[in-house]
Amino acid sequence: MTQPTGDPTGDPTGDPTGDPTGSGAGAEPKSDEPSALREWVINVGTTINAGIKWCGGLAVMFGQAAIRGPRRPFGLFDISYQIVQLGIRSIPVTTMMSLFVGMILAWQFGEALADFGAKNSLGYVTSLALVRELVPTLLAVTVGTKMATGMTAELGSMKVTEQIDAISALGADPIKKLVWPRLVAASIAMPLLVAWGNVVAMLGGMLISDTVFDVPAGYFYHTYIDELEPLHYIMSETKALVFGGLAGIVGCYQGFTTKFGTEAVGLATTETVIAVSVMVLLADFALTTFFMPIG
Amino acid sequence: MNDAKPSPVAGPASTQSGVLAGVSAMSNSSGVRRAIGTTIGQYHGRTCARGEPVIEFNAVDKAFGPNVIYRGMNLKVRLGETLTIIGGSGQGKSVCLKLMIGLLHAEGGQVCYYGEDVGRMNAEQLRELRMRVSMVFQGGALFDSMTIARNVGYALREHTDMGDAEINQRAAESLTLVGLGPDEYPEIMEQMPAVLSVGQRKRVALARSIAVRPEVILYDEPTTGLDPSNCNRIARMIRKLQRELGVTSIVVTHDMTTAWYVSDRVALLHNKQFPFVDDVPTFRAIDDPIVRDFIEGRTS
Repeated sequence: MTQPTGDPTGDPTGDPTGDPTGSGAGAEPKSDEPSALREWVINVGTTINAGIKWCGGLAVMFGQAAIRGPRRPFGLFDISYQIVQLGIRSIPVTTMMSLFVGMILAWQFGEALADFGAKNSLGYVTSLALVRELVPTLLAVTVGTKMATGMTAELGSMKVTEQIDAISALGADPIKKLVWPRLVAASIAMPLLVAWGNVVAMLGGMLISDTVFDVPAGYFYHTYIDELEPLHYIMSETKALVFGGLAGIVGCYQGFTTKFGTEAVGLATTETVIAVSVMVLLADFALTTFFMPIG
Repeated sequence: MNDAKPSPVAGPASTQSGVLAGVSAMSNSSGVRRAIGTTIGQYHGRTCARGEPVIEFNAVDKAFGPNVIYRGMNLKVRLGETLTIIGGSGQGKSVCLKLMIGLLHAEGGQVCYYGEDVGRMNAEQLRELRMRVSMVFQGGALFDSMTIARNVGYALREHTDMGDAEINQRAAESLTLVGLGPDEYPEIMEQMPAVLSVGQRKRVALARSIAVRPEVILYDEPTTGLDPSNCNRIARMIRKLQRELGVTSIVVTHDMTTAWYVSDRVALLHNKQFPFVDDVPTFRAIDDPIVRDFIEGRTS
């Protein structure tokens, strides 16, 4: 039964601020400064608390997926389907991003090296920056975010329309059915896309090297490849694996925790963009810190 | 206890033997109930006769943050009856259904199915529970990416080792029960949910929930958003399924016409509890202003 809409307290002052202290009418005006500071501290505390809860929720979902996912049936069809959705359909944007990153970096380095008469070292210089850092990170921030937002929008819509509840109600496990295939697919697709992106970025560098700086493409290729060691490829692919996994879990978690309403789906998707970008950069720093001493 | 007054289960109870015969016939003809292992009135060696409580809420507390939904709430659902839950919007009627099926957990008290606390069930027990207690969601909650046949056969595909042909046959049977059989709608099995009307989606959702031949069906506002003829169709379907499959039904609705038609008993949610639970004639005669205001749509 709905409550009467009138003022339940019978407050004759009808204080529109809803001041629980009842000090609205006739009270002395108070200084804004203490309350503003208090509010700021509360906001900071609330934000930190929400951040910790978010990270905890993410970790719990990852743990649940890691425990329940590998059980039979493995859901190979769902994983393959997601690889097509997340990976194959991202090849055009991956190709374009990588080509332009390779070209731009070669051009920038080429200009600087030409001043020192060292443009023949263009292949050496660009290879490390592209393979170890730029291709995996840029692809994670663009393609990874695209994957994650797609997951958030899809799962968020399913949450809003109670489809996730329906999966549970039919006795199936939504983590196993929805999160596991996406997590695995993103973790497989991203390294493959980064491998392809490394090749395309190198081709972009070759193009600029040959046409702008008159460094033969073959020479650029040999210097490029000579500089790279197996560890650099491992570093590149490890980063891609971690970034793919982060995109997958963040996208799914945001979708699962979408509040009700279509506006909430939009909000969750926007938050996913920021969350994936920040998480990727943090993870990038951590992985670079880990790999640099080894390299 | 709020629903302490026993009232005879109208309708189905009076034709108990006929219903059971019908159920038996259905079981034998389809084999689905046998395949799933659901047996009405029996669960883990426990038995429940028609008219005895199959689901019990004992002093249940539930809140979402500061928003308290239930405080010491008690309710009993009897085997074979149709219990309709009415109450204002946002008061927690749907929460009640989700507590029954373990989608939400109570902070205090117990929600028991055959005396077993749903809140303490592990994943496997919950899976088993959800094979016996199925839910029809407010908007249907059909899976957009699947055909109607795959939607209806989803639980069978997940939990049985039935082949595709057999599952499709069960799906067709279930769709026929809700008036959307392939004989009348030849292309329905391969259609996607998006092409169906709202009323048809609700009926497909109903077909999906009965495909596993559950013991209990929970209906979350089954007639909301439908025109009067579709409301009537859904209401008749709820009655028909109770009659033909012998299921216990719990219906959450605002629609009093539907409530009077489908119910054996009616429960009014008020002030975080169910203070009024009675069979339809008794409930309609209650003189309390809370009940009168609600059923007559008064805003005083």
